[in-house]
Amino acid sequence: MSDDISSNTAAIRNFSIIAHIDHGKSTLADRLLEQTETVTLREMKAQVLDSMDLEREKGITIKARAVRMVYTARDGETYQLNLIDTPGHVDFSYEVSRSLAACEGALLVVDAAQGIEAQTMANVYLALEQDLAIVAVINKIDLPNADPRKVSAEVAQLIGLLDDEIVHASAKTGHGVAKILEAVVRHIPPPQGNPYAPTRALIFDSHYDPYKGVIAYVKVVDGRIASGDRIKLMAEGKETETLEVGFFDPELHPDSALETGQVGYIATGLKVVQDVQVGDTVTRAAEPAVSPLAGYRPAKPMVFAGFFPVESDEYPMLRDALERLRLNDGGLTWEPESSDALGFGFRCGFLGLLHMEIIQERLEREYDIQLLATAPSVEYEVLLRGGSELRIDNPSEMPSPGDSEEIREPWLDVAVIVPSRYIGAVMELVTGRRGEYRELIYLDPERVQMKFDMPLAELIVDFYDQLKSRTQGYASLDYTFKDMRASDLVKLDVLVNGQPVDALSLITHRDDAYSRGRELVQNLRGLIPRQMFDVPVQASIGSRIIARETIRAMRKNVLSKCYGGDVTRKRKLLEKQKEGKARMKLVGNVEIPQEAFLAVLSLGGDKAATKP
Amino acid sequence: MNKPALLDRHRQRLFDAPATAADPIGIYIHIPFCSHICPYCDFNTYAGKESLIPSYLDALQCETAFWARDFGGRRAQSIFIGGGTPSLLNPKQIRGLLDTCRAEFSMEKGAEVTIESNPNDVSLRYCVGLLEAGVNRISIGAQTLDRPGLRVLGRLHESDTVSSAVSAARDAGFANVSLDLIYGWPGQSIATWHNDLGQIMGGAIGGSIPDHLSLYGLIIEPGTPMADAVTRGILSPVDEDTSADFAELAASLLAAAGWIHYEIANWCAAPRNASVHNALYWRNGDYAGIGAGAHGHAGQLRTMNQPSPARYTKVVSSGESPRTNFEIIDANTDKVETMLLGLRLIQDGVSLDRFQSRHGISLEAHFGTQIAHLRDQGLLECDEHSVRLTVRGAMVANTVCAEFL
Repeated sequence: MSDDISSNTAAIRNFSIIAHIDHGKSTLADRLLEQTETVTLREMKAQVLDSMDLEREKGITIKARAVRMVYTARDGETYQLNLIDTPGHVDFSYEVSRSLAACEGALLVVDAAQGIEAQTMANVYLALEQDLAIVAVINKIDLPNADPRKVSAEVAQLIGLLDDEIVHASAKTGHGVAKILEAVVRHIPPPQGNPYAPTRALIFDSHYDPYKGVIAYVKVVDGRIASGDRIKLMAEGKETETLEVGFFDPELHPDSALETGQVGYIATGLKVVQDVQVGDTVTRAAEPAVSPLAGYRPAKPMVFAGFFPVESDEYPMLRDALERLRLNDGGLTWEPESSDALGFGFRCGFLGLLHMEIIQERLEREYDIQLLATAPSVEYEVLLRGGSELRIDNPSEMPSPGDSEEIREPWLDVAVIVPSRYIGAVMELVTGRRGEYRELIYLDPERVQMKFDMPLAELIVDFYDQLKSRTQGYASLDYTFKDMRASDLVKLDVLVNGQPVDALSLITHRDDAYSRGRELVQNLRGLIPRQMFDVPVQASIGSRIIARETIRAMRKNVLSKCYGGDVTRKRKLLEKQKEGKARMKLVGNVEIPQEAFLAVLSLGGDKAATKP
Repeated sequence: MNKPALLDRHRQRLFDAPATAADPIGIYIHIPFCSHICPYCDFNTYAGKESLIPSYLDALQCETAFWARDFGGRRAQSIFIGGGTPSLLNPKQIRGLLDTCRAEFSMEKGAEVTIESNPNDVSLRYCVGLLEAGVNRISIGAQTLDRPGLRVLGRLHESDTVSSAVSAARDAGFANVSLDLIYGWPGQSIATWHNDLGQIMGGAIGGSIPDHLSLYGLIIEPGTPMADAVTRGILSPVDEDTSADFAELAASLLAAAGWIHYEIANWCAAPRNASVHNALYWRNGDYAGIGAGAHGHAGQLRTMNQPSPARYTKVVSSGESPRTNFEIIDANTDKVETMLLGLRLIQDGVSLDRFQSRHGISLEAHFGTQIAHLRDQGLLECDEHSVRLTVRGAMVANTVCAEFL
């Protein structure tokens, strides 16, 4: 990197890519890296920026990533392009807004066959709120069913872009990639910082490195930061010396300094990740800035579940693993929890269901901890009869009906984009989930955006799957928190063999309590294996039993053939059976498998309705 | 046996579990050839390789000599020729195998010599030949008498074939005839099962009642054509309750006929008809495992041979050992195996004295907690001599045995 580029703010472009899952964001990023020769062909692998195994497997981006590219444009100038990759899933919109804060522009990637999706729209609005310039890329024009003109028109109408701000491309074939780079240089403004003002750099992400401490991902808004500078983190007031600064290529690439407008990293040497808050401002200790940059709201967990180690002696391991995951994941919260049924574990808060699933998989894969997860719940506000208020995120903590005046639950602002022929199907699903219809907008003659208010608790129970299946996969969904509303909610308890199982309690609307209770005990009857004795499974509201099923005692479990050749095999088989038992939780004297604790997930009127 | 008076002391010794190093050993010979593989079978057997038989038999004789050397002069109580389909061998070939055993081992007087057979092969002439060769117990793979059942199980015989096989065995002079039956095959009803057992116990099959029955609940093993058919929805397996009904029906019909349920899957008309050879497995005893894929047990060692008959033959004829796997059984695993095998002997169970002398610790001291727990659940019964499964315990023996792991 020559000095004249790195010190010339006018030659810097910071941008991110906004795209729906599968619309080709990662492939486009790969092409940009190739075209600018940032990554040699030898190093090239699919989804360069998605380094987690899970990301490659699921084809999604979870963590934000950044990379610096050098591009010589047709005007003869050499530009420094910083691409900050962002997650596409609604659970991670928090990460998106962080990344966008470090940019002056965004590439909006839209599939030329599918058109724009609800989550993409939400992220576009986030970008527009932050005054970002937008260049639209109509991608996958090589697909046989692509309709780039129609999709261009839709994008132009929704966002109000000019023709030359819309590029037709195919990230797969490489068509249009050069045009995209030109459009970035031409339409996205350079950063507007003051190189002579006291240093201010925005931390938009971080990760923990065992050797270099917390690595802060920053955009230098004003001034500069050099390696060895003494820096101050303005929110915490913490001071430290930078061990190293540099940029992303996409690996960490040390450099002497980060100049105004540049995106890169600072190795802080700090061991406590909480000292380096994402959203905080870094300044130089010698000449501190007067006021920090506008930060942003910390991510707020919306979905809560208990994580319990299957082996209780893995509790400390689970704590360490959660601690480590939290280092790089501002959306994850947890606190110790103890359950009568499941022992000691953690009540964890997540941004959404996908987030929960990813954390669970990472704990099991990367940390090799066998986990038992309870069904997800939301956070309720309970107004007690003395006037005091209580926030609970665990159904088992719900006070008895006599003690509470009012229970409030989170409601969402839900947007669904769907071909107009599915309006009825979506309407039926949403109203069946206590949703309230608000408005319907035609995006084009065949596609509509529907808006609803809906309780979050209804959305986390299998709603997305149902939405997808009822619209043959066409619907896209976005939601944001709206408000807390009082509802007629009751706590449903489950008793197995006469013993209440706290981890199976759930909170439901009174109107649904009977059908959910019945369905839950039926599901549990199928999920809890037969024991050596009859096991009644009951659902109750307070002391009133509302449903009951009986799991009949096991009748036959024997290998009928066992001769000389079968001894080792039989012993191994029994050992395996025993291992399977060890994965279950002993509640009273009944062995309950993991799946049973998620039985509540498959509840809901929809499923019952599809039964013959 | 619960009627020791019927047995002489010598024979009773062959049912006391666990066995000890002072007890005679057994000899198992595997014939891994079939003219056709049944769709439920996951045994080590091959179709269309009958041309290998002569050289394979030579190899068996070599391996018999290895084992005799390994066992260093211990007496042998029984020979079992299993498969596959041993009845693909002619009586002369059988005699050759038995002669080798008799030459290499010192056989106990009246040693039990069993052959497994396919009903299609069991003619009067064949049975006479077997008896002359020294076979004294024949096990016939009937599987079912129900026509649709025979087809589901892929059997190439009819119920008439079973009848002729039984009458041939009787006419030739076999005093110990056993039938193998399978229950719980896809599509079986309680009525067809009742009919199978009724015909057999009524003497309608071959004009006589067999002396011994092995009744196996079908296990659909992964990788078999039957498992594939289940996966593809062509066959639906019977559920646990139906299978339990079948097992209970069999137990009550045979009990009413005065038969002895001496092992989980085995019944005999009289104590003398219980299989001494198979009992040795359940007594955690020592046996030679001869042939391709055969398993043996000698002291702390469990062995397994090369499964391919061609390779087995090649290795043995070049003077090398055909063993490809062995497992060293440590003292604790040995005690576990004593329990999970010995409890299968429903009448005799695990003897307290025998446990002490085999393992050098009392059963109470080693497994007292587990036994008490299982007894409280009504799954085990104990007295001053032995620990046994209850009737309920025998139905859920896996659950019981898992406690000892």
